[in-house]
Amino acid sequence: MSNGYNTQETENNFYKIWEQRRYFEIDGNKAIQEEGKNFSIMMPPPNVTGRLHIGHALTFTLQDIITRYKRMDGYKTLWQPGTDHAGIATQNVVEKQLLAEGTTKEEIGREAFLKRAWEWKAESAGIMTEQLRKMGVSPAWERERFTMDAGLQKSVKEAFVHLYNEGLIIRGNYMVNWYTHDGALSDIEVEHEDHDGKFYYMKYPFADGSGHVEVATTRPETYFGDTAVMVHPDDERYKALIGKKIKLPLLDREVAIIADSHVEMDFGTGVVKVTPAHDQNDYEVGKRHDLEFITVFDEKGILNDYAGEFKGLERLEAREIIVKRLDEEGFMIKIEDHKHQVGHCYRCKNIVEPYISKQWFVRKEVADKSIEKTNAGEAKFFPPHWINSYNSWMGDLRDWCISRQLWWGHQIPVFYCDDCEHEFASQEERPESCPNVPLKI
Amino acid sequence: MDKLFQSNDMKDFYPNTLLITGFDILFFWVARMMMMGENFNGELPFNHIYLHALVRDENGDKMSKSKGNVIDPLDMVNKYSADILRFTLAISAAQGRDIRMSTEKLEQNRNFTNKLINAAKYLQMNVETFPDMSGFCVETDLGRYMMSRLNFATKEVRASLDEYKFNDAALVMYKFLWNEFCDWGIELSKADKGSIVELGAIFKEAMKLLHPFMPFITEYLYHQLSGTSLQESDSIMIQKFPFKTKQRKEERKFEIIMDAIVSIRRAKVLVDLANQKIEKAFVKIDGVSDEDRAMMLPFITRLAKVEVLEFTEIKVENAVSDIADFCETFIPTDSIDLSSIISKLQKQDEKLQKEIDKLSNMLSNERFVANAPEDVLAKNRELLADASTKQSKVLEQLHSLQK
Repeated sequence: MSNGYNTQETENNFYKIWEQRRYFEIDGNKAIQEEGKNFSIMMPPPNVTGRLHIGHALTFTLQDIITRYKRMDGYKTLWQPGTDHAGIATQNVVEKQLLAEGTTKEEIGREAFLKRAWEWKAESAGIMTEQLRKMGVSPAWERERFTMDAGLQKSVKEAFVHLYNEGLIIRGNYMVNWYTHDGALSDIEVEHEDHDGKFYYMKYPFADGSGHVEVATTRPETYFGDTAVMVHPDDERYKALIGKKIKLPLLDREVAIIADSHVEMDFGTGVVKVTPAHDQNDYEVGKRHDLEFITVFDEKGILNDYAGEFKGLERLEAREIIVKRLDEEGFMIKIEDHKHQVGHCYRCKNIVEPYISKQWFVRKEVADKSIEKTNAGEAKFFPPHWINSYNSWMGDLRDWCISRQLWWGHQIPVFYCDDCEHEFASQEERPESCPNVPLKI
Repeated sequence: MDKLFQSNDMKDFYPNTLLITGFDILFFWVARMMMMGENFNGELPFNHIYLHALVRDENGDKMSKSKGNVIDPLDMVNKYSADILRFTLAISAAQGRDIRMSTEKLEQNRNFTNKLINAAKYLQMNVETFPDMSGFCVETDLGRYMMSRLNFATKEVRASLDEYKFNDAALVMYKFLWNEFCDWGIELSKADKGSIVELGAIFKEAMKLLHPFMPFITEYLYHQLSGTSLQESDSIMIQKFPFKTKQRKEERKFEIIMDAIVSIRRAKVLVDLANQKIEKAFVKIDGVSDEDRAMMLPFITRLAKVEVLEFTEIKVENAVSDIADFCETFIPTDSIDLSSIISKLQKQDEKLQKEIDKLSNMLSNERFVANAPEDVLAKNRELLADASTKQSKVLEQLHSLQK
């Protein structure tokens, strides 16, 4: 540069000197520190394999401005840096590598997969933090953490066991994306594509034999899991039917007609079946109306007892057989072509189903005191209006699903005793004894 | 000793003083950290939570690969500098509003850094190295004025940062360094070279104020002006952040000086002598002592480019004049060569007259008026009115000069 200031060279040299002299560490400003003045701020950890974008540049610049200001103003200053193991993103990268090599994580197994993931982490770690250094930021690098380092693995276990023992972590049903070969997929592993399917119009008779309603579905094989039939409360055609019972075709099971304003009156017949265990929307309806969740096929997609005479068939192969039987018995009114979005596995393109599975939750009561204290002014938002969003979100708080269907991440530290089947949480890697029956296992 | 975690950490650093993050994850992990932190430590994890908005392009659109409007921060660091990128982000980060980024803004702040480098160069053309402010006494009038302005900037920067108003703090620095220090302070110092050493000390203080925003160039200029190098001495980053000093506010005299300079410059524009040296000018300022006048004189003379400046108690006749906030200024017409401006104005008058004649003839021609479309007629009437207004202004100016 003609003005004698070489930007690149100066910035690189200065940064190296600052870091070598440990200015960024908590005692870097020892000479000007004033008794009792402490300042701390945490770096929301960027993904370990990420690349710096303009949003990072903003957030880290603002953090650095305040940190440098406080450091010069005599505060003992901790800007805690770290990176995030980025479960889904990292697992995806490694899975794609395996795919390119013609193998899968299932083929090589959990242990080998994790080894690959750690290798990839080691290879790409440091790219993000090097990019951060280019911005001139001054966190206490000697204290850099990784969200899956030994210390944090220990903390996660400790926190889990503590909450578990207090009854604040529980197991419950949750709807996940299920692929009958591989199990659960995370949301980003599912691609939604247009699919040429069919709309099946079925006859659902009233239990008292006084007539029937028409119900349309794209997945007739799930009707064994229906636990309600639903209409819009303002729909004049069906108002009188609310509360009436339906006897499901070919089955000896009755469900009620319920009203819910989420029904689209002009879609299909305006009468919909509710299958809480096999559809995302119905899952929500099921929870709102306290309906039973009936799962009709197992993890491999094989129909179970609820499917009556079709038990043992694979659910997609069973579809035509079921439709044929319904038709023979006079329950099938018509079948129309129908284009709709269906979720597919991003790897193998097979159809992914919404499926109820057992997951781990932190109970919402955990938040009670933090909400109380925040509203008592113990934490202050800038700009202040965010307290309103915080409160409205916390008002709708539900139990928080903390388990993921991933291999790259913290493991749930829950164990089952071989002898007595007792379930317990432990901070130990491999607990030697069961707290219920203190025998060697 | 464990480097990652020390025994005093919880006492010293929990709760965190501050969290800074994007508003989009308030629910996802800010709220989660609050419930977990409170649950395990019995205290919320943060005292203050600053939530910033999103970075968008200059039109307020979200940046995306498909739109091709992505600004890559690393490219910007290479093309401009980390300092420029940081300053641009900070000065755009108003609470609750999206941050709009553009290369124009980066260019503008590159000009700012060049301004700083040039200011330091000017200072060092006159004085080699500059003292630190602590223990140093600022004595010249100009030094005390700039110190007073630095005090104001210091107070504002601290107050803004304490409230996380990053844009306000950055703007205060920008205005102080560019408008007040460079545009005025440095120019005024040309009339009082004795003040330059003080200005250099003040500039070094300002580098400390600016350091959190632009850590690199402030380090460079701080050492440059101190005659030191980072390699051999402590960094600016562990110098004490400036405090407002106890010095009284001393600004009125320089407000008047700058007012008078601007006023004379305006008067010079009237006689087409902008930026040229003139022989003589008068300033009428009420309620200032002779002592003050004597102090003001060299600054006004030098910056307004006047050979002889005189104070006056009464209006000066036969002069071009200007009225400002604190004063009136006069350029006597006999002291300047008006022939060129007069002939220029006369030519303008002739040209306008021709145009007026042409348009009037056209508009008084009955056949033309009867046949021409309405919009053409309206257009010509408008042109005629314009030309007449212009001509009367030119004549008025001519009249005042020929008195």
